[in-house]
Amino acid sequence: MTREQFIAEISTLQEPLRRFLLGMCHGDAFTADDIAQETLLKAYLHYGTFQGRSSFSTWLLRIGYSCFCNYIGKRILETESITEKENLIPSEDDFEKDCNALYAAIDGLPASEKATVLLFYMEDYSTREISEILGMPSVTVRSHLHRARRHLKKILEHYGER
Amino acid sequence: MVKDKDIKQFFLQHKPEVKNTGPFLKEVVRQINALPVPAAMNPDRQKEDCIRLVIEVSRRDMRAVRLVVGVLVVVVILSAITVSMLPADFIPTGFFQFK
Repeated sequence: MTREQFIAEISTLQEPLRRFLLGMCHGDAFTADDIAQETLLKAYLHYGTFQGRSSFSTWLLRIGYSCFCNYIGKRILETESITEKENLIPSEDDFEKDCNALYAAIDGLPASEKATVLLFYMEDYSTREISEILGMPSVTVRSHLHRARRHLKKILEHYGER
Repeated sequence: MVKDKDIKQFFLQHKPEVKNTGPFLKEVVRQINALPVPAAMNPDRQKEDCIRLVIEVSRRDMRAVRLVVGVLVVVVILSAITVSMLPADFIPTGFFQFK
C-alpha cells in the first residue's frame, strides 16, 4: 500500500472510527478527534506491522481503542466498577436530547462493555471481529454483550414506560 | 418488553453525527505528508525487499544443490572403492605368489 492508497483508505474509515471514539468519549468531540488523529498517525507510522490477518478497519479500530485506553488511563479502566453505575438511570433531560440519549444509555457501562455494544450495535461488527479489536476472547465479548444488553434493556424499558 | 432489535433500532436512531469530516481529514493528510514515508509504504524499498528475497531464495537453492552434489561425489567415490575391491574377494589367497 502506498501513501496515497493509505489516505484513500482512511478517508472512508475515519467516520466509523471517529463515531466509535465519540461514543467512547461520551460525545466529547475534541477528545474523540484528538484520539482519532493520534490513531491515524500511529497506523500510518506502524503500517509495516499490519499483517493482513484481519481487515484494515479492524486493525485501525484496534489501534483506536488502544489509544483511547492510553488516553483514559489503564488504571482507571481496570478499577472502574459497574456496581457504582449499573443502577444509574440517566436523567430525563439527558434522555430528551436526541444525541445525548445514546451517551446517557451507555454511560453506566464500563469502557470495555461500552466499546462492545458500540461496535456490535452501531458499527455492525461480529463478536469475532470485536474480540480482535478489543484484544479479548470471544467468550468475554459475548458475556460483555449479555451484561450490557441487560443494562440497556432496563434503561430503555424505563423510558419506554413514560 | 425490550428486545434485541429494539436496542439495535435505538443505536441506529441515536447514532452520533460526525462533523467536520473534510477539515479533519485535511489536517490528518497534512500531518501525514509532513512525516517520512514508512519503509513498508516506500515503493523503492518494496522493490529492494523483493530483490533481496529472490537473491536469498536462489542462494538457499544453490547451497542445497551444492550439498547434494557433495554427497553424490562422496557416494560415487565410496562406490568406486567398494566396486574396485570386490574382485579381490574372488581371487584365491596367494594366487599371485609364483613359485
